[in-house]
Amino acid sequence: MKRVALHASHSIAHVSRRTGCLVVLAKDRVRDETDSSKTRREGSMPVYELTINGSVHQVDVDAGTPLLWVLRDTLKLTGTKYGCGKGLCGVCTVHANGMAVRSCQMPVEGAAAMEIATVEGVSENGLHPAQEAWMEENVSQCGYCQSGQIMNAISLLEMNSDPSKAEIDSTMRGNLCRCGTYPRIEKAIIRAAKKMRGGQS
Amino acid sequence: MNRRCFIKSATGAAGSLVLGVYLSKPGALASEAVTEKSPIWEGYSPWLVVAVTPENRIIIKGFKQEIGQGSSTGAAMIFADELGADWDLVSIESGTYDSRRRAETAGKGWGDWVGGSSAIRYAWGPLREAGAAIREMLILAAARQWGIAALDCQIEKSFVIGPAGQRGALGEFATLASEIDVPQTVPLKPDSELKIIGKSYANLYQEKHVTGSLEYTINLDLPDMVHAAIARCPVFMGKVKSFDASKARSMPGVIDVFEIPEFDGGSFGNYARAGVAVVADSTWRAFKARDALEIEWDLGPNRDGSFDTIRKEIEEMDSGAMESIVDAGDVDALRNAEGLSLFEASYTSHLQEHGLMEPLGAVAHHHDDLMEVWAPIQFADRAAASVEQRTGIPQEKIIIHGRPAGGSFGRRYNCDYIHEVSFLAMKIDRPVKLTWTHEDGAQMGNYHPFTHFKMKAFLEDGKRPIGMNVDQFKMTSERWWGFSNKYDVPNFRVRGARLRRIVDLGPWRSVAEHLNTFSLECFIDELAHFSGIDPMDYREMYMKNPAAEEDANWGLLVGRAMRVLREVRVLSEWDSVTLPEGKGRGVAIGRFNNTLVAEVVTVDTRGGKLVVEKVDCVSDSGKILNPQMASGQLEGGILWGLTAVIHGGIEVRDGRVVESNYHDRPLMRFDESPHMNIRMLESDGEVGGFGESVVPAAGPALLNAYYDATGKRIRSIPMKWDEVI
Repeated sequence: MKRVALHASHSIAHVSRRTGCLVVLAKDRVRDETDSSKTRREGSMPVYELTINGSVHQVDVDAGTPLLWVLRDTLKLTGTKYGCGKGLCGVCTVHANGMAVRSCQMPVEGAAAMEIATVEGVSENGLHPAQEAWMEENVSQCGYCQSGQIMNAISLLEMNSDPSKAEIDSTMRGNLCRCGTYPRIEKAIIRAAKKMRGGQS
Repeated sequence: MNRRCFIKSATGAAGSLVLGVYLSKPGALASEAVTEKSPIWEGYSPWLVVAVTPENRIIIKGFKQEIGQGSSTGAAMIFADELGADWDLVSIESGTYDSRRRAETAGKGWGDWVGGSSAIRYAWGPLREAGAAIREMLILAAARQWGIAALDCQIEKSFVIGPAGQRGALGEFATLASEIDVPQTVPLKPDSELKIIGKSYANLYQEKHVTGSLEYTINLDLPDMVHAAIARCPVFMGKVKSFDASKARSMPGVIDVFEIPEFDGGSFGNYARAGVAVVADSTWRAFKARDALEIEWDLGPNRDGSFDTIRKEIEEMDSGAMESIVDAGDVDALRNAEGLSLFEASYTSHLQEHGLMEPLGAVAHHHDDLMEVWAPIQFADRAAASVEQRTGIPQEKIIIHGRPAGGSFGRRYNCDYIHEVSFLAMKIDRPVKLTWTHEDGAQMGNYHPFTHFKMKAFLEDGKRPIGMNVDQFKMTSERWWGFSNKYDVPNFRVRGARLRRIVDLGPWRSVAEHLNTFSLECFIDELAHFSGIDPMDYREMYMKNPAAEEDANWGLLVGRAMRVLREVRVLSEWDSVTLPEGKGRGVAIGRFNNTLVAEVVTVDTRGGKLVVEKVDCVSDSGKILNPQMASGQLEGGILWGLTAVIHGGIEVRDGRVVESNYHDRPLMRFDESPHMNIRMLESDGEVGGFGESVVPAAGPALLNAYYDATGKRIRSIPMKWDEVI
């Protein structure tokens, strides 16, 4: 992972392997308690402004609602799944500023400051190389955990285009699969990495 | 078994040929035209509906529920191959089960039932017959149109081909074909002409999996739908004494709060616990409001349930009161016989939970006298019967929409969640989605039965097991009572005693085979070591003789057992590789139905940690329909079996299940997955099932390996509770 020298006005940065762009979260975009541009109070209901897959949404939910449930119940984006609700299984994995996070553990307030990408977003222009690799390796059985697996894998591969087995292990151990598709997930990640290194879409 | 099927055809919307495939109906059926106003599937109650569309697509709707085992893809492969379809033009859809369909499949236990690793095995015949009949109808239609003999035509990749180069898409002949009588007998293609069966085609749902767009029940959104969560009594069969919903009612989005009484469906796994339901406008709000309920419980008769109560029951059980399950020869007489060694060991398989990734739940809507339910069920008949049982709504008014499941492994076969959602739908005038939290699933499960085995063997010359007694103490109903023995033990007795049910029980991937194989394959291993004989040699020496078996099927199975044992010996380099100190390997043979599997597990215990390094696995299943899907089931099943030993186990303490989520009821993780060498043998016979076949042998092979590595014999699944009972 390439890191830039963090400036006081930055909080986190990485180079997207996919686009080659430097992705930086500028401090002035972090929601500030006194910044009224992100939350408006209409009556007593807070409204949060979320950026999901490049589109801005205004959502009317209770404070503390996990991003997972905002995605699923409010925005009807059901590609991100509910599994354990405790950050243990990874099926709820989304990207927040390009980093894999567990949306069941991210309250809507935190999400409001970030660029969120879900599995719906990664396949907007046809399948992502990781999704293609998943299919080429015949990974899935019931399929329920796979969007979370893929989101975590994409986040790894965007930061590390040629991960070692140990690096794959330590990242992917965060995602459970009850059907037991781990052997094929490993093959799919190696295949996806090759595709992404080769510049194939 | 009569596997013939009958077909009824019609012209569907806009010129499609719609065929209903029936499992059995007396008499042949004539074609019947369906008006253009009728929806394409209306009016049919067949087991399977196949449409050949004007766009030349083949849509197969209504094969059994998809729970991750891939059988709907398998079914499509069988049908498409016999028909001669282009696989790229084939798609599948889940079925809708109404009472007319259930009248069709009722009593044919394998009709809509998902379980027993049996879907492909039972459906093979009907699917091929259906494919063949439809092939002939389309060929006849084309031949008529071309004015030539049907005999000269064939179907290839969804086109009818004539002898003079005529070529027409199946879709073109759909309307004409619907006017042709359905042929009653059609020859099936010889194996040499099969192009799809036996190939590693991809799961047809795969793209939906990777894009997260498969229609799981939990994703369903209906207009005007509300969300429900239930706070259930933490102890099995307890009741609500009183509750205070004032805080919950005041929370945002809460629509209603009411008591939900317990409901006993009258069989194991069909009991819905008493509790309090919260209805809200979102899942999260329902969960939060539920947390705010204050409930006083009457914990009921199982409030004391624990390891201690189980242990006491076993200790106090009088062997005279045990039920006889198998009794061959005379085990008791051996006690006084001369020159025999006695070897005893006890094994415990603890409660196990399913650990599903898609939580339990269902959607239901009671409207216009109808009850519609959307659920990831494993048995449509049972689900519909459960709705009727719970609500009194008659079968004709019950429609079950099957949805693919995020895993099931037996859990969704039971209908406690169906009872619950039916009750909710009667109370609420809108579609209601019931969602269980993960903790609900972990703590209110239908667990794999707790079983304790006391085994005794009488050995001749210090090695040959001429007598064996198995006393099993099982928290179960009679369904999981049987115990078969692949070894030649002329005096073999199995007795059983039922333990008090302190939690509810249900089928869990490989069911009784898991329990019996664990005790038998560990015990045989111990006998081998006691005799000083290599565990592979010992199994081979004392396996039943396939030729001597009167029961032809049992002979077949024993023959396969021998074959897989010998093959896994070679695959695992059992004789050629010596392992260093601290590493070990163990073997076990298991089966499910007619599929036999032998596994060698290699472990590394150096550094004080248990690492499962490698699993060598050989299966013999008869024919294989789709090799990559079959091996996927083996890979997943190995992880399932190993997880139960290393990480699994459910404890009851003061009547409550202790474990609640993946932190205390873990699964094997990505980095724990062993290297797997899998070899699948094909042999004569039917196509075999795979879903459960590999699970039974995984655990005992691991425990046998652990002994080999450490000299310590663990006799418990999970390992951590060795000697607790």
